Amino acid sequence: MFIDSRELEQGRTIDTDICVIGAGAVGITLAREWIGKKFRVCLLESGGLDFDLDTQQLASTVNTGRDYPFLPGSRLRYFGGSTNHWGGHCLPIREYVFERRDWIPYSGWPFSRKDLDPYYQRAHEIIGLGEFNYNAQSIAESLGANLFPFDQSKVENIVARYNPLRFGKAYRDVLGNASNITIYLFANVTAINKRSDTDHVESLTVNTLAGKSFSVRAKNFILATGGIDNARILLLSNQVHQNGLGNAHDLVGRFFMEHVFYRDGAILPASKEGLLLDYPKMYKQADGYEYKFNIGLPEHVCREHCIPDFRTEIYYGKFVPDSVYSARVVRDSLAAFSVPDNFSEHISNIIENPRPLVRRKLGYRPAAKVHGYQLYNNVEQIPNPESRVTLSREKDSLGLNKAAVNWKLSEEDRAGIYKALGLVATEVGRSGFGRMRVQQPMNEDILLEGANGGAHHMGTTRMHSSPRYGVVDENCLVHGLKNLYISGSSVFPVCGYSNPTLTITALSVRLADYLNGIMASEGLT
Amino acid sequence: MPGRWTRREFIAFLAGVVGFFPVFRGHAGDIHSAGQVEERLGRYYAHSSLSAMIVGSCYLQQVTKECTSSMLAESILRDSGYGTHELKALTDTELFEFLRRRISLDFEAGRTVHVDSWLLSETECRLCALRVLSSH
Repeated sequence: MFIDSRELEQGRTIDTDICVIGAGAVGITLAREWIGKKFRVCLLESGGLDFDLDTQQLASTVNTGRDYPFLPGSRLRYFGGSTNHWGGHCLPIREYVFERRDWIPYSGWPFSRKDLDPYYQRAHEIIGLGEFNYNAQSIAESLGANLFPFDQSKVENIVARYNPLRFGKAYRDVLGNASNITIYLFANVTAINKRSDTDHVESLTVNTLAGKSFSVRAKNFILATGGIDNARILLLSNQVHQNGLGNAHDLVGRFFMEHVFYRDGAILPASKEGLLLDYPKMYKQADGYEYKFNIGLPEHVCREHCIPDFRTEIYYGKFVPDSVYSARVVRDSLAAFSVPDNFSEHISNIIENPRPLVRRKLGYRPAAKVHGYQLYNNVEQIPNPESRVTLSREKDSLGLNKAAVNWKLSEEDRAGIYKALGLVATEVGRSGFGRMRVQQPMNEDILLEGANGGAHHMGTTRMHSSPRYGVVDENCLVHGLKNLYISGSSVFPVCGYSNPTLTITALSVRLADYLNGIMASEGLT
Repeated sequence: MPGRWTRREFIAFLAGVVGFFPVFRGHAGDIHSAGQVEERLGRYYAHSSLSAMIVGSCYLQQVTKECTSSMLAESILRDSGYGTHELKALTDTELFEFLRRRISLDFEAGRTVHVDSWLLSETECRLCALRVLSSH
């Protein structure tokens, strides 16, 4: 059942068994797993069923670090959350990323990939990804796709599966019809309330933008509002503990991670036959499943060279002669009644090499539209406690401090990318496929200037079996509390190169099973 | 993410491509009759003169101790199991295969050089440098 919180009576208290804060990939997955159970589930969603700007502005943040373009539009605040606009890229985190790696500080998960595999398979069903198979070679064969002919022990082919499922649309009806599930829309949690003499969360304070407030009491609470707001809500819940909930060791908000998307590297094939023109495209199988191929470094190579998890997406590179480019710049500028920067250089380019321009004027087009490939690298960020989310002094329309995001990359991140690119370049040459160029900038004022994230906000309530190194334990339970859980990419202690949604979904299925067990012990399953 | 390359990059592109079309012009007999190993190696990139000259010039500037044809030829053959006599006896096809393998092994062993940010093998750079010296 869906309820518009704006129509609730002021000051009402809602009693339930499990309350989930947030109805994105995590909240919807959890609720879906609990359909038909004997216990009552309450989902609190900040927005409605569709986008609205007033609610979206509650996601507004303050950027205090390097340029970071993915705030706040990437975190959608309506039913379905950010799955309302994600790209659908799915890859499980690789097995060795779950292990402790000596060359990656703070690395390791408190369980193994094998422990998560059954949940990955169930997550596949939820997202609609088909068989749990990521063998690039066999998938390429079934699709008739040509892959780069690299020695797979040096640079390997990777395949990602795609299905940009809109969780909100896909599961709206089934959740709306579930008798044990109630979804409150336009319900913004403003505080998690706990008394100083207990280790239990008692209730949530919930507000609507129209000024109504109500509270929710539950046996168990799950925080599932994304990698930035999970930390923000804990920090804001500072009525009892000055540093916020679950923050006895000053870890909440720290270790903010992104996938470092960084463009450098160009591959030129040795022959026209080497131009695998289909390589960067999205392949679609007859059964509707979609795939895309990348290249990356095998696990043993990352181990041997102490490199973070590395893959790179491949795009076409196209050469435009300088004279043609300059002519376009001059033409566009003059059309706008302005003179372009470096005007004399552009004129010089045109004079030096007018032939391509003349040929184009005469209607000739270059035979080769593609000359090679450009690399768009996607690298695991090394956990860094100084990269963090804190509370800004600026406040949102509910009077809550906005999140301040300080995304920091380190010299180790930079070094890892260039070591990895060097190894790819070596294999490109060794295999005879072609040659590769890496324009490593020197003396950068800003490390890896131009690097983007993937709107993957991770690490701010990291998982570790010890409260000294993690905010939540291996069961996603906040250390020091008995009934507050967190799920989502904020619990990732390390992220590998894989986009997070598949793992978020798998972790949520795992948490759903765990809480099933807890509720069963109370006779409620 | 297709992007635009600058002129400098295009020159580098040509330079990078030079190693990929190692096709001899002329007949085997012509090459054998040339006699000199250096000259024969120097003709490896005869078809791609401009690119070879750019890479070769960069290499000669970077590695000043390899400043003569004989030094370059000696470096190419070092630890290869081939001497000048064996090289003279190779057919064009065999020589092509020898150099192709040698270049691949360079990458394998880390014998590489950065020329305008391109990662190239030492052997291919030396071949280009021979081309430069033989043009004087």
